[in-house]
Amino acid sequence: MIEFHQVNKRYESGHQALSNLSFQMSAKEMAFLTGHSGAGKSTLLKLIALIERATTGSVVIGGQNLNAMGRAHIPFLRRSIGLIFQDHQLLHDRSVFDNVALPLIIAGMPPGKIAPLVLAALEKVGLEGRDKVRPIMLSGGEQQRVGIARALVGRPKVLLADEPTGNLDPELSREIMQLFVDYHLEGNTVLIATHDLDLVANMGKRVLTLEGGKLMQDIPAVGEVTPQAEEETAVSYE
Amino acid sequence: MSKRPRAGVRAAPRKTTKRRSSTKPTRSSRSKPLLKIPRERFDTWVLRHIQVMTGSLGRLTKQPVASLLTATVIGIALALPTSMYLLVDNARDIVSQWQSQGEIWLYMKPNVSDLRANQIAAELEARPDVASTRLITKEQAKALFIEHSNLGSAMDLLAENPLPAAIVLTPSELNSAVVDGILWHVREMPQVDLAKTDREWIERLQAIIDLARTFVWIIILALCFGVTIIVGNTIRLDIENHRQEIIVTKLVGGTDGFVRRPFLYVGYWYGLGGGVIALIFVGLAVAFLQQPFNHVLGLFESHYQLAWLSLADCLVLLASGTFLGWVGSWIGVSKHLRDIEPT
Repeated sequence: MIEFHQVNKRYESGHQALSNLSFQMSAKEMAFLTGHSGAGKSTLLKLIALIERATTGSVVIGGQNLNAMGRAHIPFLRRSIGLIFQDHQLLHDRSVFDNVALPLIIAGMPPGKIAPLVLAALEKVGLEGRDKVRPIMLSGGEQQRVGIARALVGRPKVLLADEPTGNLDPELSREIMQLFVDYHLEGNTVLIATHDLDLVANMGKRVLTLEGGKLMQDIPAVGEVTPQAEEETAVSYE
Repeated sequence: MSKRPRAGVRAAPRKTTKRRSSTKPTRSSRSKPLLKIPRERFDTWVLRHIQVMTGSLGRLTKQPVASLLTATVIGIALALPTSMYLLVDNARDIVSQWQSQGEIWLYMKPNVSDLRANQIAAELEARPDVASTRLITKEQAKALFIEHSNLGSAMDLLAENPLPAAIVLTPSELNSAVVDGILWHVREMPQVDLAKTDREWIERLQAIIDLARTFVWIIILALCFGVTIIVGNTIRLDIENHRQEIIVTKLVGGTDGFVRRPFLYVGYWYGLGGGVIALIFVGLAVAFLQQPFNHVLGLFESHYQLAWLSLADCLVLLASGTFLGWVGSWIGVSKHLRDIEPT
């Protein structure tokens, strides 16, 4: 689903964010991306959503080489990717409902179909009943969950999250991580950039570690989470 | 990624048509779902346009003073050439009315008697290009002179009436070829001293009006350009104020068209508002000018009424205002939207 082939990214400032980076993620795989700040985590995610382009090498998403993708096709790529940002990127002059509905409106979905999907997404992130308030009225954690609901509402095949638990307390962080695991178990590709190593260690998923723009470690998923436990989480979600 | 299932759906019926050698029921069952999806998408599209249209109007009414000021500036820029156009148009109408009274005056040589002049008048009237003639005898000429000039008493000092007989000739048609033909003929006649028409100065006036019209068109073009710039610049500020919204929309997959749409409608409303304000300005100007204008025309013994803009003119004004607003915002948006990308 996600393929990086000898990717280099050098910013105009001369900063080399990624060097000769190669890795692959199959569909329905979940992985964490760790490393110190400035290691290139955000840049890697930006390359997948074509917020930035690789200087050399190629990024292939869902079989499509992004190098060959023109400007006009970028929106359609982004519609197939759910993006979650540390700074939420919400619109504060609109209600929570309108924020979450935005990807569906953009995709041209009839209004009658939008409302149930938005309310279901809000329920999934535990924000039922808060659809009419403005994001500014919510706490940081709640705003983060609005952003997650917006990323999930269109049911994208790929979910990318950049420091989704950055400013949250450990309990809330775990809850949010569980949301990502659930989404992964529904058969989607999930890649989460975080520097919260304790949290990552507990999840037992694949961990990619960046350092100075290079891939230093690629630890495959370990059997800490047994198939039985995965089933349990799936059931608890249902 | 989302293209794959669609291709599968398309491929499936193709197989069945091959097997059944394209019978009618297969076709209709195939076309039904294909027609249904675009219909729903079209309805949604129309609905979203209406929402964006009303939403952008709502956005403008949130800052009523600023919005009204912008619309007023556009209104003034549109009202100026419109009133000039109206003025020139009226002048043209007045001049063309004068021309319709176009007559040719033939002054006989002093030695031509009234009787001879009458014969000539009759001869001329027989011509197909002459509608009618009217004889002004020497005596009538003297009477007219005394009536219309202050020099009437001077006439009494003269032993003889110095004024010639004259024939007033109305051409059958008012085009210059006919008038030229008559003039060419009568100037050849030995009895005619002078043939005059009011055409020359009407032509001069017309030339001045045509010049003024060209000038008005240049002003119209210049101010249209101005309106586009005003709207473009206002939209540029509007885009800056909605930077975050643009970035978020692009991040979740909004196309350029989607991002552009609300700004285009804002430009549309500015233009339409400007058009309405221009109409009000022109209407007020005409109302104020009506009285003095008619007074001036009255002095020229004309009963011409100052014409207001026709309904078609009003619609053209509103449409061009709207169009210019739209074009201005299009230019503004295209120029600045590319600069705002998520980073």
